[in-house]
Amino acid sequence: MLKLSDVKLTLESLSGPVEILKGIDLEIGAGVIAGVTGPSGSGKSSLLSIVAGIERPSSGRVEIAGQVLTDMDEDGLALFRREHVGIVFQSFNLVPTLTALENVELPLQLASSGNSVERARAALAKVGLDDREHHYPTQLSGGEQQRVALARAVVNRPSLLLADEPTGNLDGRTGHEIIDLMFSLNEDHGATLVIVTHDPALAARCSQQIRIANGQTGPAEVAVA
Amino acid sequence: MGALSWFGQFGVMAQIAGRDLRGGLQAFAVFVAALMLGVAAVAAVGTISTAVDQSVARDARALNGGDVVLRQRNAAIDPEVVASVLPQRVSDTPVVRTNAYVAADNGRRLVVGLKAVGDAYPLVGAVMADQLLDGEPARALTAAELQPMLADFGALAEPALMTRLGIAPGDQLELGDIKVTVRGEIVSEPDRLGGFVSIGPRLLVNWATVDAANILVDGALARFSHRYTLPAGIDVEAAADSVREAYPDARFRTRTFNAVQPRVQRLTNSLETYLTLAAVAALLTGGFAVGLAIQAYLASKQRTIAAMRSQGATRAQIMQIYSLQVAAIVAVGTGLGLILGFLIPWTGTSALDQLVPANLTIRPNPAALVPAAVLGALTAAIFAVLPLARASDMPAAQLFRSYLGKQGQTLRWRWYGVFAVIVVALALAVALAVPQAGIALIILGAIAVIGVLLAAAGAGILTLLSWGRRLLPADFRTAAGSLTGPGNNSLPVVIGLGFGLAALIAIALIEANLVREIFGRLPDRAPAMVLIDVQKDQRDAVTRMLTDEADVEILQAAPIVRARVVRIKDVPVEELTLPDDVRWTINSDRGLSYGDPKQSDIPLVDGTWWADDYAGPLLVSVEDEVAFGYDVWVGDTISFNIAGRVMTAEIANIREEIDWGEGRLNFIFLTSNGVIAQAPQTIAMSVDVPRAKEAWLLDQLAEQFPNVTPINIRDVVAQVNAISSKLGYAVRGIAAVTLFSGILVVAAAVQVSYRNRLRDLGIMRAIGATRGQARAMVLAEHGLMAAVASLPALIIGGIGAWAIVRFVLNLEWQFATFGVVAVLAVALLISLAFGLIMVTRLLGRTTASILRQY
Repeated sequence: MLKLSDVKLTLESLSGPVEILKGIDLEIGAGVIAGVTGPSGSGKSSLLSIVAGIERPSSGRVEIAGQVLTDMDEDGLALFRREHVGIVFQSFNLVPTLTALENVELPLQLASSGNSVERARAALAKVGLDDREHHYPTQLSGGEQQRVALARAVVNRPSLLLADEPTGNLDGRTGHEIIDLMFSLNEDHGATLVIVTHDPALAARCSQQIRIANGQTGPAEVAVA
Repeated sequence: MGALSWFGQFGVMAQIAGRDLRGGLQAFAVFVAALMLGVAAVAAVGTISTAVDQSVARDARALNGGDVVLRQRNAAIDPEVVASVLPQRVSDTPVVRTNAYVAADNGRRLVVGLKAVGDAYPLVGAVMADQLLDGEPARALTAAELQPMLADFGALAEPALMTRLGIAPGDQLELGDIKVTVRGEIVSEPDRLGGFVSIGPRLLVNWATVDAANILVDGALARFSHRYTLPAGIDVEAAADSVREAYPDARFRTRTFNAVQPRVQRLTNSLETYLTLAAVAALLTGGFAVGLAIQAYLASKQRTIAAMRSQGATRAQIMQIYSLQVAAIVAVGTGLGLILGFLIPWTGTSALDQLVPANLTIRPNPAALVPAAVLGALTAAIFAVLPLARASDMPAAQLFRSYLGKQGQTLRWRWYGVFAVIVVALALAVALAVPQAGIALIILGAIAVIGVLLAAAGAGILTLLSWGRRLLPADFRTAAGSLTGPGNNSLPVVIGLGFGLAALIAIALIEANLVREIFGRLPDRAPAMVLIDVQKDQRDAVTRMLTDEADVEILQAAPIVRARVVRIKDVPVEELTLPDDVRWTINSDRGLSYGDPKQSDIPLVDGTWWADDYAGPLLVSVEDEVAFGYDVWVGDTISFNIAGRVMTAEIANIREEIDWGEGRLNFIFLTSNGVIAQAPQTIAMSVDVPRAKEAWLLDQLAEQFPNVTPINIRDVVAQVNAISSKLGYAVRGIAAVTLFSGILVVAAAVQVSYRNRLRDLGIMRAIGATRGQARAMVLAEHGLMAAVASLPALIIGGIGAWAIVRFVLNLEWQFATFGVVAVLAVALLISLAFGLIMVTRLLGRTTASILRQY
């Protein structure tokens, strides 16, 4: 499903170039739930951005679902994300001027999918927010916003679902609810799920654990069945 | 450590404000531009107005023709009177103005405005002349230099006269019984106000020439005057009073130079008031840009404010720091506006000389610049106070949240109080800045009503858009969300851009109707020529001459009696205070007509017409507008001085307001027949004559009836149009400033929403939007914005134009699609251009870098 070969990422900063990823080699199979852990600044979120096609690696090769991302231009990557990837951000990243329903509908509209309203409504119902569809993000709690983000991420039935510290801005109980929901949705969809997390308990629930430190995958990349 | 004094604290706040401004000045570009434009418009109008005032005051003696002038119509002033009054005089000269025919050697004829002067003319100032036969360059001629030019039947002519007759300096013209030699061009006369319609180009000759030409026959329409200069230090008013007291029943009027400025001001005050208010409207439009720019700036300072608040800064201190910054930027914008407002009229002096009635000297004038600065500062304060209050009053905890956290914040009531005080201060400042405070407050009220209507209409449309967005295509649905969702800034843009668009739409529609009237309808209905000064005993002969000729038709003929209103409801007019719009009717003799009531087919508002054979006491029919201004109605009386005899007439009826645009002979006073028929009078005739026969008519009149003056209505229409189009430049200039201010509002809105759109774009790109889709969404938003702003502007501008065309200009109304579509298309293109610039900048960022930022 997902194969990274010698992926490096160097970003320019005011104090000069900073090496974020220093040659990542990684493979995640279809349908696997992978947990990416590591200390702050180790490059976890950058790795996820590269897998999502949001960030371009400085070098190396990224192949997902048989497509080589490193060969694609910006619009090619956007189309790839639209067709294959769903993303859940730590800070939700909902469009504040659109209602919950409209936020969920947005990827369907971008893909010119039919029945977008019905499908968005169904996705919202799955995350338990069918009574909040006309609320704006500011009128929702953090947990509710993340559920909308989750509905938006899965509404297009992506083959790859990415979550960047999805519970980072939520309290413990709400965070657990969101994770349970994410696992349940993923089970329904059968997608590959990659979760960046600080939470060891959450990482332990993943079938594959990837540890990143100092821009490199750690020695112990453990496949847990 | 002791507490700092108030000044010490102020110094600290100023220091913090200064440090916080480092690197942030770019954010104020739109702010400065908007304020600069509005202040410049107000300052430019003020600079020109004060320059006109000062120039007229400076040149009052020259414009009057001397210190004291005796004036009389249609008959020379008694030579004994002329010789005996004002014995203390330094110099004096007679001047007469009339119309006369001239003929060139090539056979062409023309009616000219003839001015004959004595040897001492001009008593004050100099005649500017060019193309003189002596080969010397253009120069100012004093009386001593002018005398030889006019001696021995010499003349100076306006360039238009030579062009129309096809002659040059050195050529001769037939004038009455003699031939005069044109010795040069008149550029300007010191006693002539510019910017007015005249019958025929000017020909300047001396008194001996006009005597020899024998054209001042009895009954000819002419304005005689005798002018005097007095020694320095003498009380001119007292001297004039001595003349009035010595000749209390004289036909002549005595006028001093002090009367010149009030007469000019009556003409210029309204123009200054209207143009200043138009400039204030532009300033207020720019105010929305100022408000949005401040909002954008304060949003970008949220973290800084949060940091200051977390370190113990009070709300008052935050207010002080950012008020100081805004005040500094206001000073910059206002200063630049004042410079621009002075430079525009200064660089355009030559164009202004043709537009305004005096030779202008443009100087920086505090009387013009201080009001502009005050209005600019107050406008900025109106739009700055609430965003500043919102920033300083925001709870510290909320400051650390996203920008959307501002929703629902309630301000302390005191800020609304401060806002109201500044609004009242602005209204008072405007009222003080213009000559007609009452009209200013009414128009300001109208501007406020328009603002409220635009706001209400805009809010209504935005609400409808929010409700109905599900019906729109996908791109427009997202755009509608951006325009109507939380954190939007659509309403200020709708009002600001709407103001500019409404002004331009109204002007486009009014101009289209005026152009249609002047070039379309008026020439169709108006007579080609109006013959005035036909003597009673010439009426039959002139009628025969005209009716005998094919294609020539007499449309109307009416007797004209010169009369002056002296009493209204038996009260002398000197004791009455009449409104400006009717005061002109009592200032000097007016032409009234009498007799057959059927010659006026204007419907009656009240009363009835007298019978055809009515022979009782004098009755009068009065035009509605004048009756309203006089506060008279049917049954009241008006007394007229006709050739020294006072006749009192009872009002028999009130006619509807005259539509002068119909081009008919009309009279505000129309009396019954009777004793008035014995008064000195002339006949006016309106004549329809094809252009090809105009020369024939001029020839016949010059040969058979040289005292009759033909007025070429086509020429008058052309002159009126030339003057109104020059005024139109000023109106269009200010409308353009208003639109540009509206554009700056869009720019400011783009500035405010840039951070939000950047974030939205990052999210959309992350979930799969292509560059094309992102571009389409932003352009859809800007297109929708232009449409939302245009709709209320179209309705309000259209209704405003209709009201002005129908009720102020009294013209028939017709919608002008082309002009309106052009204005709306420009608005759409401008809005889309801003959208394109914005999305191009947004797409210059990678999705990852955007998401990292948020």
